[in-house]
Amino acid sequence: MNNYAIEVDQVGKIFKPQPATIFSFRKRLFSKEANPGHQSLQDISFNVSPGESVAILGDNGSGKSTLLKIILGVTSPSEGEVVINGKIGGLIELGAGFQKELSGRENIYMNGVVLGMKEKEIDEVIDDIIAFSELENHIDKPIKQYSSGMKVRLGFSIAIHVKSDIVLLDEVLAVGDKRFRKKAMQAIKTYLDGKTIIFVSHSTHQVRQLCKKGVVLEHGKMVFNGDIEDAIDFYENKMNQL
Amino acid sequence: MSRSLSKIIEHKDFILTLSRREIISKYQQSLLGSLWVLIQPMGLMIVLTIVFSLFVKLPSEGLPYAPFLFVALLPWLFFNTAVNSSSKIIVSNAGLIRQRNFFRPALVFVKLSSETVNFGITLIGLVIVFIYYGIVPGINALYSIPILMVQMMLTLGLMLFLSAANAYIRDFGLVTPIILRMGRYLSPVMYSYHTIPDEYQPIMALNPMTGLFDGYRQSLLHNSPPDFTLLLYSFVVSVVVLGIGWITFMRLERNFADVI
Repeated sequence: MNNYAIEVDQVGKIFKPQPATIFSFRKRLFSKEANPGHQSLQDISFNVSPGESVAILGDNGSGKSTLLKIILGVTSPSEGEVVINGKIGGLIELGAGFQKELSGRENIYMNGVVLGMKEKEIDEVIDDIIAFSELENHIDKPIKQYSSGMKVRLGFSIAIHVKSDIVLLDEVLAVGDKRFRKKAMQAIKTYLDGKTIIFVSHSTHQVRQLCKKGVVLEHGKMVFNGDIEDAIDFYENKMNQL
Repeated sequence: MSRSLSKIIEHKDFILTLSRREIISKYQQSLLGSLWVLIQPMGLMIVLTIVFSLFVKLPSEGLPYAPFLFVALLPWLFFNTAVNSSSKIIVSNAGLIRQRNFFRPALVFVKLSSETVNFGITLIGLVIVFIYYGIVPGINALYSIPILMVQMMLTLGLMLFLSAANAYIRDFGLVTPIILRMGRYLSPVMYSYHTIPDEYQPIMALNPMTGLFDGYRQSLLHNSPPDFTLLLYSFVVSVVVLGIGWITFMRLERNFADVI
């Protein structure tokens, strides 16, 4: 009997060496030890209740993004398992999936469908998506003519129009120019209202605003799990020790 | 197996939406649109017909060379482009794959369906050739439909395998066009299966494409049932290839995001 939205159970992830290098005879003959791969995450366990907001703090390379990808299901854990109850969505790799040759409008459909919307649902919200992204004049141009800022804006607008119960955020709040960022922050707050959130960030300021709990990762291991203020203190103490 | 099927049915809308968008957008971009798809095989047919019926006369089962060739050439080009393009499917959709855990085989189905539409357009060329030579297919022509199904199973199996394997080891995408080019000459496309020397026919029959191409010719041009032994072999190979392709894809799919 459990009602968790997300259960992360003893998750570990090992990145295997590139398969093509298995065939590299030079390496096989001349390097003594076998290459076991890179252990990115080790024995991570925590639970998130519905409606809870959890921040994942850690330095670059501590495994934050890998953990997020495993929770999202984009990549599979090497050990342990993740159980998700509810529809999961995320603001991750915004605009990365756009097809360069297609128009913005076509890409809204392609991307929306991949993010789990039905074509009819997209028909209903497409005007809102375009309006929010402020790309009315460019929406029928191919994506290859967009600036990187425009792509992120469009990606962001699509993502916040997808309905989901659990939302994963990965440093997304650096979207567009100052004015758009303000608008995005506003929209995110309304969008996130009442949802289960996992937020990955370096910015302790944003984390404080959005999250109640915190998890700190260091070299792929979980070193702290608890209240957000304590987590931030713990993380900042760690950094000051250096 | 039934679980895989129900999964596909569950994601039917997803696959249909993506396919339709892909097909429409493809034709919006070029001036002549679908005409291009037709021009390539027609051009190839004209050149090959000149070479093999005027310069080097090849026996063509008592028929004019152009329809004889076209009946096998079109399915071959369909197979060729679909398999050739498959190695890029996963790699070129890296952005989407890193973004969300969606039903990944859909990407392969989308590619296959857009290639199938292209193939459908090229059949207009076949109709033109048939009209020009006054060929009227009989009732046995209906056999070409199950033969096409077998061919599509084989194609899908290879596409699933190659798209997944190429995400991990890029050599697959480099080797595929070479093998396909050899395959074009080792399959009875430009010549008839029945004109090769008897001692080589069993070896030729090992190629699963032999039964398919010979079947198209028998049913569409000679109004006779295909060689069922050859066809059964093609069918078995196709089922095995499809099974291997599906299992490989589902195994490798889990960690696509790590390698692309």
